[in-house]
Amino acid sequence: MTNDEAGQSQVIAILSEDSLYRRIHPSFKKNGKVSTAIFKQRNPHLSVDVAKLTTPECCLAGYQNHGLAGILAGFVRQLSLNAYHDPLPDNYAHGIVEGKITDAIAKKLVLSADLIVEPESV
Amino acid sequence: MPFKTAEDFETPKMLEAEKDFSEDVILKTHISFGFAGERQISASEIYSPITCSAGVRHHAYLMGAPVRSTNKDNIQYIRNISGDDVTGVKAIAVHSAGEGDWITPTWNNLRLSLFYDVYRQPLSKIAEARRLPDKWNSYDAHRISKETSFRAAEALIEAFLTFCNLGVNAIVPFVAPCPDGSIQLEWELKEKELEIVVPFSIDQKIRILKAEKEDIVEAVIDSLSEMAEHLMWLLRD
Repeated sequence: MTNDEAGQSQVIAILSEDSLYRRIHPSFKKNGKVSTAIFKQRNPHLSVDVAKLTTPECCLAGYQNHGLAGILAGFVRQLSLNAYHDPLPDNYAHGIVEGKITDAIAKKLVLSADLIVEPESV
Repeated sequence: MPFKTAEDFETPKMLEAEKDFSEDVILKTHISFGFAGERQISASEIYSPITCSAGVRHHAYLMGAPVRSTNKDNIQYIRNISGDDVTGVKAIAVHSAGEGDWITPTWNNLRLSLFYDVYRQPLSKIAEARRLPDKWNSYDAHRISKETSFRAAEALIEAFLTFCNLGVNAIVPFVAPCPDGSIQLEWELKEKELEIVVPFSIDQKIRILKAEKEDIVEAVIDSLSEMAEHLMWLLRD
């Protein structure tokens, strides 16, 4: 069943207190912390999942050894990034953090992130 | 440091198989990094192993690759390495010189064997990064190119030599592949953190991030030799 069939096509507002999930590849695991490398990508649209629309288990289903980080939408916006809901046909919880993530912003994001699920060592 | 070219030397001699190789030393200049048995060697490339110390404890050769070496009398040798000469050490540091280039001999830098001992783990992580497929981070990550991994290995060597020159123990960095195809090296000491990002494109400058408590400073450098001042910042009280 697609999101449309399930009535899940509506775009919702993301509030400042909403948490956004991002999966953590095991190579980012750094002595109980997460490397800033996690946020260094070419695409200015960083995929996340809106926490209130999903669960950690759902985010990590099929991604063995991965962990999960949570960042607050309000903090993301303080860094002059945009955060919005962007449902996909196969993932209603999908959201976007939009904007240029510099090395300094990546550092601030990592410092503020909650480690929801620690990635496993490989 | 400029390369010497083949014209600067006498015609290389073939090395007798029974010769003790322990007197041959090759200098690090442009050091790249590969895996024995895995690396494709094109006809236009010449790879030589770094024979790391006077004791030559870490001979690690690329099978079938011609080895160029220069002894302390400045006599050069070419030797084709057979499988019997390949050590059990898989990861090797090799000198990648252009065809016809020679390596300037050195006799005062015996630190490279130590480099290999101390930085084995980060070197392995750089090699692992090269094997990551597209979308390896479960999103839209790019592969790490061969060139980026070589440059990261060079940065690692530069850092090691900087620590040696400062007379301090080399601090082992955390190595992370970046989804954009870069590789970053991260050092932590007390409350200071230093990140050196080797970008995915040779056209981009190497980026530096220094963080201490709440202070975060970004910079770029034009060459690996400029890493030294930032590594010194890490060590400063």
